[in-house]
Amino acid sequence: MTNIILSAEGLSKRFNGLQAVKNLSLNVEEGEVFGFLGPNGAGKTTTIRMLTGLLRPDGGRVLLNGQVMQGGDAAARAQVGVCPQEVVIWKKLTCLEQLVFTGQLYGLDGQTARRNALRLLDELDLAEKRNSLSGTLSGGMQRRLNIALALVHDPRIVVLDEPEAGLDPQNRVGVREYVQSLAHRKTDRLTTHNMDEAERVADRVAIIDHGELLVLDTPEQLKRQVGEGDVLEIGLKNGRRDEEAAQAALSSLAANVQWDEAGAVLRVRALDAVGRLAQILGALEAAGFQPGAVNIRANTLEDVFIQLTGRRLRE
Amino acid sequence: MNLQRILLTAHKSVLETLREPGLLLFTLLLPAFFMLINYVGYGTSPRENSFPIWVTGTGPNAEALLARLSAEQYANGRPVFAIKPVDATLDVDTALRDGTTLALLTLSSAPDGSLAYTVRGNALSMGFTRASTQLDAVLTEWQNQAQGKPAYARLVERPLGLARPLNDFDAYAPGMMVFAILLLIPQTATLLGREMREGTLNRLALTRLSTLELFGGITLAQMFFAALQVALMFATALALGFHNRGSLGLAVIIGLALAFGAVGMGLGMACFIRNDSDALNTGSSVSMVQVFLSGAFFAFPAPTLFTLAGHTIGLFDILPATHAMLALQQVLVGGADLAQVGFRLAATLILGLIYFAAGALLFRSRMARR
Repeated sequence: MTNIILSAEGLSKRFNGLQAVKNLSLNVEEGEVFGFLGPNGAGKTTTIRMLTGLLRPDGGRVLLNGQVMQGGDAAARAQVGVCPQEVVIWKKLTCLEQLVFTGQLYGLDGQTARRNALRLLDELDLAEKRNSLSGTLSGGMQRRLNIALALVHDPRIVVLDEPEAGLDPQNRVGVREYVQSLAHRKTDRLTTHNMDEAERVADRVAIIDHGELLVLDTPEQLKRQVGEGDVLEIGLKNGRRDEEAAQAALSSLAANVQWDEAGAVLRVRALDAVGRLAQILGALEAAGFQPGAVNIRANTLEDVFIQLTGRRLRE
Repeated sequence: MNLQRILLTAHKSVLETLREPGLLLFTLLLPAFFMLINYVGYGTSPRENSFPIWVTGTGPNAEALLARLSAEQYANGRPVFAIKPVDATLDVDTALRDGTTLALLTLSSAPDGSLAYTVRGNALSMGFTRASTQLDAVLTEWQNQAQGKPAYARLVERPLGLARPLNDFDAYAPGMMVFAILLLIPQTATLLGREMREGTLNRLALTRLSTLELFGGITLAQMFFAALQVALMFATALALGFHNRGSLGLAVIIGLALAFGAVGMGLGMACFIRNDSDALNTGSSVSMVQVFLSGAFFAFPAPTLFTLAGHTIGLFDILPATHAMLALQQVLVGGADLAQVGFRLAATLILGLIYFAAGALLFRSRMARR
């Protein structure tokens, strides 16, 4: 039997008349990596702020280990480590000072806080900068320190809100590798990290849009909801857009067709699409389409999202 | 409430302030700088001014009047007027404009044979306002005597048993000290405003740190710097020739009590701001209004509310600064001791505590509402 560690029950939040989160319920199970996906403005950060006790919901409640999390419940909050989307550091403190300070405010003794801080600085490749004021660090280093601040008190649940946001490719890889390494160490992790990572590491994924939970399941199950098989993305030279004609042309091949939102690419999903590529292209040509560049890929969570909302995750 | 977390927060706040040398220098030196301005403005002008008055023309008994004016003196024997007869052709207007003289007294004979006089001066000059008031008192009395009218009651000054300021620098120094200490309001609000702007307040809110502990930590750090500020300010005042009549230690304690109240107000203000820029603007306005309401620069009329332990409590006595101002004045200028200012000192401290507690409650409620 699974043990639910974090639970949201009917969370709602409005800002100036705008419904940011609407009756959202979900459970995070002990030991799982939980992916929390949605486009910008979907309500992810608002939900996370409510889940971590930083924001009081207008409706609903949050339970941590089955206990209702109250705003002033510091002991409950201390079980959660939060890495916010923005870099939130004390610029006039050194890396080591602020990690030890934060650790001690979470209840660690000075020695443990310092030991944890030094370990994290080492793991995040900041050991040489431990006595540097954080305001003097590069953007990538500050982002890594931001992650360390979420982990210094060794929390039971770690919430990572877009930890790669605003990073250059080199730093992005470093942060991604570290975040991935956490999956083996932390019991629970809630992340709004990118879809690739969610697909690879998350045990379950929730997708929200317009403040509402659209789906919550394992990545495999979600992809199955969209359809089995590979996806062919076929550019059409004559720009003809006739979904019915395309579906009719490919019906004998048990393929599912869909145009991308720009209307320039036909997306065909079918079992063994690669093996039957010549047949598919031939059927389309016979129906008056002029196939051009072809891209073959596996089903992704992006497809799930497009199927659910008709638009991409990152617009 | 956890003392260790208060100390950790205070230590962090002190470290951050020490690492901004420009701001630190500004914070520490500003009160001393105000004292210097006070000295430049008033340091050399004695409180009991001998007003320079030029006299021209003549008339019946003119010599007797001039002798009467010259004989007018303050309680300490200092002459009230410096009478100087001048030629009627002299460029008096220029002298009045540049303050060489404060008033021109022109004497003449009235049609009925009595002595007539006119007083001329620059209505924009504060000196003329003060000099003409003194002059008018003497001249009216003189005229009444000449006309055989009974003398009006004369104002007799009786000291309250305390000393008097020797010069304007002495008189205004306590107010300047109150002004300087009240600047802790925007300074304190700015500390929290910066935590808000940079999002670190949310990071603190995630930890076990409570609002009271956060406020306690910031207050401790601010009081550390306030102690330095106040010490530096008093040292500057004394170095510039301030005539201290009372206990410097008691004055420092009053200053620190006011600093505590100012820090409490600054923390309370943080409930109404979103960032450090807000804090600076709003905080400066709040502290300036209090400077005037507390009577730091001039006695501000306030409706009386009630009497408590023999002390009249006015509307603006809800401000710690009002009590601190009176207490500082009485100690530094009047030489009062702890027993004499105990009520005001206690009021400063109690009001400071009330503002601190109200600020903490408001802030906690605001954090919870977000």
